[in-house]
Amino acid sequence: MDGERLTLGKVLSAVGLVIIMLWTIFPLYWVFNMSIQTPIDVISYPPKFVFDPTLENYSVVLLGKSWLGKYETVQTDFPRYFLNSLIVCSGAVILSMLVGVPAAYSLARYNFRGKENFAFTLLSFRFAPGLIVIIPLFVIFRRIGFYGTYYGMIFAYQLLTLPFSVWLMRGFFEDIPPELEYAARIDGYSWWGVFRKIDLPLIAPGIAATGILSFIFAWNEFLFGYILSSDATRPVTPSLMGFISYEQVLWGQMAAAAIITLLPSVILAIFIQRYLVRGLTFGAVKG
Amino acid sequence: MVNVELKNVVKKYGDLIAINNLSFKVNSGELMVLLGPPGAGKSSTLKTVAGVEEVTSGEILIDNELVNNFDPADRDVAMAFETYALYPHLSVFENIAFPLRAPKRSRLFSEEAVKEKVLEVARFLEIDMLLERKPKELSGGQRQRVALGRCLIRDPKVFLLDEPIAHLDAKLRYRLRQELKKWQQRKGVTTLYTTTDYLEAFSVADRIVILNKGTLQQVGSWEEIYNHPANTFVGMIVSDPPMNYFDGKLVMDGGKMLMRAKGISFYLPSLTEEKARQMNISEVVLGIFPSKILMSRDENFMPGSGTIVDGVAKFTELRGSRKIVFVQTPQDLSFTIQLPAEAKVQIGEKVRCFFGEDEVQIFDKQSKINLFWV
Amino acid sequence: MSVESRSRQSFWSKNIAWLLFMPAFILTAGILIPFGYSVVMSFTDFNLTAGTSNFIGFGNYIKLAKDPEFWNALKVTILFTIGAVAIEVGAGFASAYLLNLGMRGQKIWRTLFLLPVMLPPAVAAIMWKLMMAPIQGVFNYLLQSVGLPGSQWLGGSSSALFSVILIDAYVFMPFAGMIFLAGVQNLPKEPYEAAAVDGVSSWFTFRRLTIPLLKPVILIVLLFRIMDCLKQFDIIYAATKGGPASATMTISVQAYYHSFRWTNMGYAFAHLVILWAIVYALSYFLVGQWRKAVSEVHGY
Repeated sequence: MDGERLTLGKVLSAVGLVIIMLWTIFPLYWVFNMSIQTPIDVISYPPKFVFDPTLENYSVVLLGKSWLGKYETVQTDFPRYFLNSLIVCSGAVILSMLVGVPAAYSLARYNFRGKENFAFTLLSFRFAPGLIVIIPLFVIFRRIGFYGTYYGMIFAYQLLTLPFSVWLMRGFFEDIPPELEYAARIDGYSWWGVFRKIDLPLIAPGIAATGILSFIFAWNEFLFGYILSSDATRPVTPSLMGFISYEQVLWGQMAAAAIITLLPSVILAIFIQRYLVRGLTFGAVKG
Repeated sequence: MVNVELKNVVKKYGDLIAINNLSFKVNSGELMVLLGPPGAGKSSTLKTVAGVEEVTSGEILIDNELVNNFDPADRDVAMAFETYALYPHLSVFENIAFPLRAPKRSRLFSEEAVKEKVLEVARFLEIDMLLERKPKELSGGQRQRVALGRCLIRDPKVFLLDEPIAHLDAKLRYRLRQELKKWQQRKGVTTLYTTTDYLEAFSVADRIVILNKGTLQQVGSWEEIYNHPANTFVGMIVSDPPMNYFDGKLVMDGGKMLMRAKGISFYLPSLTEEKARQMNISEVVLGIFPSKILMSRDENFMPGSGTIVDGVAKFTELRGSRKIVFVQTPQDLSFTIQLPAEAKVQIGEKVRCFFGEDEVQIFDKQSKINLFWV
Repeated sequence: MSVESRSRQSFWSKNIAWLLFMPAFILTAGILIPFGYSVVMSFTDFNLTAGTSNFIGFGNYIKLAKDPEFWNALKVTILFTIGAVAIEVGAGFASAYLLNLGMRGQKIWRTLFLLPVMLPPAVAAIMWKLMMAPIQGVFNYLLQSVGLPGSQWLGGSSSALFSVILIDAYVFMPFAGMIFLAGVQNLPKEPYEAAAVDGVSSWFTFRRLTIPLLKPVILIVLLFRIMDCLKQFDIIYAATKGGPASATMTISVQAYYHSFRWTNMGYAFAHLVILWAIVYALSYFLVGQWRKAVSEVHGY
């Protein structure tokens, strides 16, 4: 009797797991499926699970300047958008790391007036509606000529990545007992020597994870890029909005563009899986 | 040769006073033990001497030089942390070698010399077979020895050892405390050493500083402290079981001063009497170490001139080679006695206790200070 | 030691904390400028095309209180949040349970489970939009092939809100799941062993031990998901642009239209200030609860 119940429980658990995995994987599978179908296959009904795969959609998206649809042609420059994303996201991440590492160290190691208030304010921006910052930035940037420039975009994107980086790296620094630094100071190393020989090696994985997560956040960001970029500087994620609508049935290309856009985030995320829980909760849950 | 001196050192963490106006001097080549319960300010004292924590006020002198504003790296001290503070990303070998690789020393030691020195220290600490391991692969006792090794590999002006053998197993602890003492004497390095264990303190120390709540209680050699504990706190901490205390009253009896407690009375030694008169006190606390009380089951026991107290053995406790007896008298006086383990005592048995009056410490009840030191 | 070098050292040691912190402070303080700008402009009739702005006091807020579209947007925002958070927490908990049973291939399942969390939400919305197409979409095909009626999904005024909730749940359910999983894995072993020795039922253990111990983690999930849902823009805008007929018009999307379609900036800012106030008050409350829960569980 007990054995049977156990088996039933096991079966139910397995079924549950299958459902969860289908829920997670099926959309990715299906969109990938669409991305390797010909324009005829992709709009056929019933949808095709078996077909002759083609890479045409990818070559059109990546190489072609125009998408040749049935009724319309859409001008895109996907490699350009990709490059824009790379410039803006890397710029924001590098800036965040350069000023974020010292700031995180300072928050973790020193006590100064208003420290906790300031740290919490940093965090609270995570919860502010994005538009309340972006719309004024749009107005201000247009006035001072920052609109549509890489500088302006990098400044805007670091507003997302810097507070996150500081908050997360502070936690990594706090994981290093201050006594290690004391010991190294006594062992004859200067402040900089201690930072280089002790802190840096110990925090390197944390810095890498923080940088990669920041990059993913910036890459995934839609609103900042959508509002603050010009055609020439548009990042890839907001660019997808430019050619999606039901009237243009360029499903294959759209699917291919979606896959190309999400690929960097997904690949990077797998590398830092260990730090995901900690990163996504701003260090509140140490996974 | 190097001496270390603290002058009116105060260290506060916010409102918490960790070190309260501490002054003492460690002579050249001396091993000074800081003894006190956890939270007494021992570690804080070492950290301020090392310079990893700034003093709130006061002066620290090493080699007669004011070092308050010296960087820890420039004070030329070596410290073993109670929490080990091992570098987790480095092997045991590299941990121990780390001080020798500091920029200002790296030119003095070839790779060969580093290897040789690490091996010497590692053999001494019996960790030479662990050199390739990372700290997380070591037991607590092994980690502590690595921390000690990182300290001993240097020839600094001052060693600062913060409970350096507290986490070792008993056998190694006994051996190492003697070896450490020998090592320190051979190198002649002035040393500050903290512990909570009075036996360890007595066994390694040249002199001892007793601390409580950041405040200095007494400085002195083993004999000075044991023969005349400065106050009731010291009496408590340098003996286990702690010193026995009884409340007493001083009364004049025919021109001499009589000390009276429950069922005990004797005339004060003349020196003590003089002090009591000067201070004009009548309320006192008597203190006597459990080891200074003799006991017999013989009703006529009288080993010499002293005070006899009759009581009943309430219970006994065996502690290694010692037996502790708890005695209560009909006058409701209770105290502990330390005897050899072989001593035969039945619970409930009548016993006769004896102590010499010169073994009794007399403290002012209000200030808890030993009249001897007034 | 000379007086000069002494003073130099104390200047450095006294100010090092601020010197290290300053650059980040300046860059992040930059956020206060646009933020303050929004708050100030919400008291004006700022029109970007005309380039005029006049102070009109609480005019925008009074208008807001009388605007049925705003009340609709508030309703949609709250329904969206409740629906999405309920699914994410419920399914997340179930997933954490299933992924912690030690089934074969658990490591791979866990990795695959996490994938959606890293998708750009706007891209995920586009993916789902492709699948939810009423005529040629795969969802309706699958439903019909098992004999169920298809749905208008994002195109239907009654199904659109549920559809965007599903998309949000797709992206963020793994977020809840993986945090619960981390919480479950960090549970101390001893209380459970003690409970087993005491012969307590597993339901009782779950209710009296697991739930209280997981309270900080549950609150973190609620904090992040409620805040994100209240201000969700990417998914809704990419999937429906607020339509059809305002069925998915949340405060964020509404404010976006007010600012960029109708150039009524002041009114748009009033929307956003209200939304921010709601989010801030709620997050303040939830952070407080979380800190309390953490101190109860960990005793500090």
